[in-house]
Amino acid sequence: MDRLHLGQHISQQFNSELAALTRQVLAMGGLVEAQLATALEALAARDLRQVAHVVAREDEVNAAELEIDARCTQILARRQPAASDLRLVLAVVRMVANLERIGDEAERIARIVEKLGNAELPEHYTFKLAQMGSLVRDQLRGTLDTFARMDETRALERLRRDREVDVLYKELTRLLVDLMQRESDRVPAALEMLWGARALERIGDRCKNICEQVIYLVRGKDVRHTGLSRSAAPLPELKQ
Amino acid sequence: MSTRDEDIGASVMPPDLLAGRDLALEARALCLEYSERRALDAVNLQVPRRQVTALIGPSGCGKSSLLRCFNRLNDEIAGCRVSGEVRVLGLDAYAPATALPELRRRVGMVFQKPNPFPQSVADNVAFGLRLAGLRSRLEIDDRVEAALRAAGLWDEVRDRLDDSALRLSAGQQQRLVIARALAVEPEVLLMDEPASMLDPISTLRFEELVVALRERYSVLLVTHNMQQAARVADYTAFMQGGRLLEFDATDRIFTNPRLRGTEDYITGRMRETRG
Amino acid sequence: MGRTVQYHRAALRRHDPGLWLAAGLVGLSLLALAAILSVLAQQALQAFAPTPVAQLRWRGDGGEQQLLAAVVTQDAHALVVRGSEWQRRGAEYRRIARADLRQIDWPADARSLRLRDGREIYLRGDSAAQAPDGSRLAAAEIVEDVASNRLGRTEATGLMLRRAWDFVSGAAQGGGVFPALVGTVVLVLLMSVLVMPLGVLLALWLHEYAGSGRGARILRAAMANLAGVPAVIYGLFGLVLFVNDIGGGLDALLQSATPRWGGGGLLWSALTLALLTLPVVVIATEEGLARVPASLRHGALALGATRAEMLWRVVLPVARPALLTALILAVARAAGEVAPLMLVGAVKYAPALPLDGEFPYLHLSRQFMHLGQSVYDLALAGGDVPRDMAQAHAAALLLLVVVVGLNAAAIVARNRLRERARELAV
Repeated sequence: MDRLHLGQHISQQFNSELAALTRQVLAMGGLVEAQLATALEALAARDLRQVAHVVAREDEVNAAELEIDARCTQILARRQPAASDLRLVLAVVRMVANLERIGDEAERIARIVEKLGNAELPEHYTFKLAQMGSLVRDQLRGTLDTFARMDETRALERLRRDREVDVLYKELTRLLVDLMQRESDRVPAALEMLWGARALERIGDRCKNICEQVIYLVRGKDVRHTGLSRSAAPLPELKQ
Repeated sequence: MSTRDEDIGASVMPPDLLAGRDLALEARALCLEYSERRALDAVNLQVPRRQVTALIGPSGCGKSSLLRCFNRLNDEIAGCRVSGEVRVLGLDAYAPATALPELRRRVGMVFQKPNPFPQSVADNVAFGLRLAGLRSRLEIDDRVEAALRAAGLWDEVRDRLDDSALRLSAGQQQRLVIARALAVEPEVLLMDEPASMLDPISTLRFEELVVALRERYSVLLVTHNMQQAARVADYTAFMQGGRLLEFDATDRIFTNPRLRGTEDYITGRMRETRG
Repeated sequence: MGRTVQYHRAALRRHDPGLWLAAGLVGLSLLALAAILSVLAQQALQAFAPTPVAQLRWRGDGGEQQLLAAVVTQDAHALVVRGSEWQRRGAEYRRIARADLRQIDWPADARSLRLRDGREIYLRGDSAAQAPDGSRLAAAEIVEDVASNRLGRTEATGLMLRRAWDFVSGAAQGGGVFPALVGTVVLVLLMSVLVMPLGVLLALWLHEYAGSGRGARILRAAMANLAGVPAVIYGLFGLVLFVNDIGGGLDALLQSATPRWGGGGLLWSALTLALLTLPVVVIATEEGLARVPASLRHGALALGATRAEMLWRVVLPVARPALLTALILAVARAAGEVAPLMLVGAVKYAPALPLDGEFPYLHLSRQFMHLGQSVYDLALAGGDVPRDMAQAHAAALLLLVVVVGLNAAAIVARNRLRERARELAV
């Protein structure tokens, strides 16, 4: 679906450049998504081999970020895009930075496995973390989907669902702090888990950022720092 | 009737966009017909004072026709009929009592092709002054220099004032005709694709000049070059098929125009024509 | 310039048939012009060349006759000679068949005298000129005394030039053509002065104000048709309108005893010629106006010029070369016209020049002489055919020189203007 009519430029070359750009962003999103999934699985299974996978993927993600940035620079320099084209390029630059950070956070999650070693934690806690993990994974997938469809209404929904992640995060934090107060020998493991939860929460925030960019891209309205996620306000008018 | 006009205006322009601004030019329900063809269709346009307003739109959309209503240069074209209202600095331009030379002295114009007269540089700039009845040599010399300075040409031609204006480069010629227009101290400057014949460096110099001119003049600029409109204009109006479709702050037009048509035009999209 | 040359060379290399055709036609017309000029010049020279004097003996009707005479022409069968003209100019021509000719000598002491009234007398030796009736010539009568058969090449040429100059400057026997020369030039200049403002104003009105209205269309069609009306009809029109109606009316108004304006005169002739050339001027000027770019007009209007100011300050200066072209065309047409002038003022002999040192210097009501009229008169005068025909050719040559000279002056002026325009257009 081409809601922004990206394929209707008089210049075919420009059309294909923009199409390639969105494709690359989605491919990079796919990479990051896989990274996060692997990291979560590694954490659940305490599987060090998968950790290595995640870390290895990081280079690919970084390379994708650089390449997309270079493409954007090129488009800006050569096409002097305006309006939706300009917004697409700007949004892509910001989204890619966020995706790269998500990759970093996934790596951080994976590395927890190394640090935890054989330390055991009550199932209750790991379950909560896994629950948060799958919620964030869903957020990431959904976010990328809104971009693929240029669907700003779903993006707004996604944006608002980030609060669920925050709620889980707060719950888990409170539980872990309790645990650390009660059993001091479990503090290192609990701290690692706390870091993991924090990384997931960050990923949620980054998904939120990406959703904001999708809205900016489609509606031309910059909704960052507007408190849109906490209000129930509708989106601005779509153009005729 | 008038309420309907206001409705049209409101849909073209955000309601409080020009709130509190003086207007240099104003067109209301302006229609213009050449013998068989309708070139302007109920155009409502407000051009704020001491700002640069750009008119963009595809070829034949009526930009130049609209521009030429404000100094009534359309009168030159046989079979050209105008209806509606045109106000220049608050006065009705098409009122029978309006003296054309006086109107045109207050509304300078710069054309697509630099059109210096085949005379010396100084005589070109002094042309309007002499028309206005200025006779004192000293005063003419002073005003010529001032106009050339204002047009950013003085340093290049100070030693060539008696040379033929046609020996100047295209970029210099275009600044010369701007100086010629400025010499009579108009309040409004109409520019009809003034940079389309210039090389890129001259174009940049020209754009620099336009931005500087807005300190003292109200500029209405027709351009095919959208980047140019984006660079120099405070406000941009988009026209298509003889209608003014969207008027907004330039920033808004070039990042997020309200109309699909505007967006398609400025981003170079093709659109299947409807109806 | 360089580019044109290059283009021409390229065209030559390509053996472009159009180019050869054009070159051939140009060559042909140049050849025709050269032929006309050489015929005129050759014939005109005869008017001034000294004729050799022969002592002739031949068998006539009444037995053998002898005569000292100038040989005018000769061919294989006969000679045409001119004896001493004691009675009348042109009365002593004689044709002698070669078969009758007994003896012909070219005595070195032969002299030819030229008299004030154009007659020629031939004598030998130092003998004084004595007519057959015994009367003698007064010395004051003799304007030229030449030893015809002893002239060297330089002397002959000098004599010829002197005679030619006398003919042009009016010192020649019978008056020469000086008054006609002055009349022609003054007439053409006056015509130019009259037709240019009128024609330019009319063209301005047609092109700038009238637009494509009905009146303008009719006027334009009329102009195109007027350009093709025979000149003599203009003469008739001028005679009726200017001479009879306006001139007669003026005389009645001024209550002059003798018709002053009511006869043919310089002003009426100039006006008639102005009418004749008006279409040419209007059409050429209009074309020039049409070539002034609209951008310049709009530029001037946009600066607050009124229509008249725009025309006066921008359009006319730019169209100046076109105005001169119009003038050139007008002069070319007018200088060669004779027929209408005969009806409205040109005469065979005018008592006074139209331009002299007497106030008001230019005498508009005077009749005047015209070179074209002179050619006509000389060619048909009939009294002294060989000499008159030669003079007619000389006058024709002079007329041609005047026409070409006036045109050349205008062309030089136009080219100078164009050059300036081109310099400005660099």
